[in-house]
Amino acid sequence: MKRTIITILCMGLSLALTVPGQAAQPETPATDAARNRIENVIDILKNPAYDEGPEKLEEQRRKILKQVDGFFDFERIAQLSLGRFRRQFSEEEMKTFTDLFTDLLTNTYLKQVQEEFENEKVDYLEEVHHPSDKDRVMVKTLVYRKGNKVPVDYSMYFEDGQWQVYDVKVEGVSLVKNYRTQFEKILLNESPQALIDKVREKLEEKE
Amino acid sequence: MMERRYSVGTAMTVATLALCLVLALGGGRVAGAASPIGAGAAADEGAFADEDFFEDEFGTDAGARAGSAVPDPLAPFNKAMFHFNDKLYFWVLKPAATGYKTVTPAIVRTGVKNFFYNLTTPIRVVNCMLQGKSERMGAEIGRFMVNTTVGVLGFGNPASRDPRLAVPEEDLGQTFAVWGIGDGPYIVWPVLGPSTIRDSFGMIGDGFLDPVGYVDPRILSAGIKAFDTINATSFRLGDYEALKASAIIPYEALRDAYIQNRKKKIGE
Repeated sequence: MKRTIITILCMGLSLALTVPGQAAQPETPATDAARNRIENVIDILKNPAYDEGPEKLEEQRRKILKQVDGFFDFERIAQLSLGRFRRQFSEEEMKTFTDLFTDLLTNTYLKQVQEEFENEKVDYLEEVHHPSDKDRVMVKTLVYRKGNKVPVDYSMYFEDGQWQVYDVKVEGVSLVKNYRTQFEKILLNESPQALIDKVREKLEEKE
Repeated sequence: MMERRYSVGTAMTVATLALCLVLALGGGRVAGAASPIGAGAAADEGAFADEDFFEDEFGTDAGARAGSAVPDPLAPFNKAMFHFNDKLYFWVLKPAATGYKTVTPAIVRTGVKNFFYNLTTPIRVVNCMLQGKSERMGAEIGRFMVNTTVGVLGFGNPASRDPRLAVPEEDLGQTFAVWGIGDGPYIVWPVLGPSTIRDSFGMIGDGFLDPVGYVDPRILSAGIKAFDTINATSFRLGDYEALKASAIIPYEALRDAYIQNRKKKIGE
């Protein structure tokens, strides 16, 4: 009898504790997905085990890349960056371009993040829903970086059971749009192959 | 990346240059180029400016012109200035800021940054007023009072603990945009960096509200400005390098980044 009372009490208590808590917090699956990935990357960056020598740095790079790969949809980012010019690309050119562009993005940004990480903290502000498409949201964050607060917004979409990033805005500057203006300048006068060559040149320049 | 506020002395020089340019181009052309990309448009597009996500797949090219909304008829001049500023950064500003950073503790640099931000409060207050943003104006004044007293002449930033006092920065270029004045052509100034004709006139107006511009010998005023610039740069070292490293055409990347960033500021 006593045990039953205790059990009921416990159940009542846990219900009282959990139900209102769940009701108060709206579901934010995209933010959760973003937070999960970003915090994983920060943990890898914070880990002092990677500070020793270039091999360790390379290992750290691979670990971060693994997190980034399932989070950013580079194929979509590449397509969107080409805008209307994407129709001029053959399947093969598109594939080459996507691979090179992905390398350019990961190389430059990973390098910067690895070199300049100074215990950044990220605040997850809000999730803005697309007016007509429920599978698209923008996750707004604030990165505390070297005494500055930098707004970083992730445009994400839901497909095949997961949330993925198709654009990032840093201080209001969209990555996709920024590349689109550059690519447009080139593709108005030149062929897709010329753009591919330019991206490759840029990649080799850094190595 | 480049410092955008400046003293009255430089303001006058810039004003003269700007006027010459506007005259050279013909006033009509400037007015004609002022496309209606004011506050309204920016605010509406706001959060989801990436409308082409699906549209593109159906053959429309909406959004493909996003970055070219601001014309660049001065491109040859601008490109020359871009290269000049690039060299100025790598040869002068970066070494100066790097050296300064190594000998100055972060807490001092942050204090200096806070001090100059506090000092330019008049610019933001007046522009809040001109845009009819009275709540923000109140926040700016409140922030100034707290930081000037408790924060000891603005070196500290105790006001940052109150989120109500954290309001976006307003300037005259944004005020003009809210009034419906278009950007006009894009222009890159030596030393000051990317701007538009509208924002250049905005900078001139704001210059009159910057107390540093009134410091008496002019050389001292310029020295203080230079110090402010070096201090500010010490927080942003590496940013410009990253932009350059990731861009296929750095000139276009910086131009588009400036325009997108301004659009965001005008919209908020």
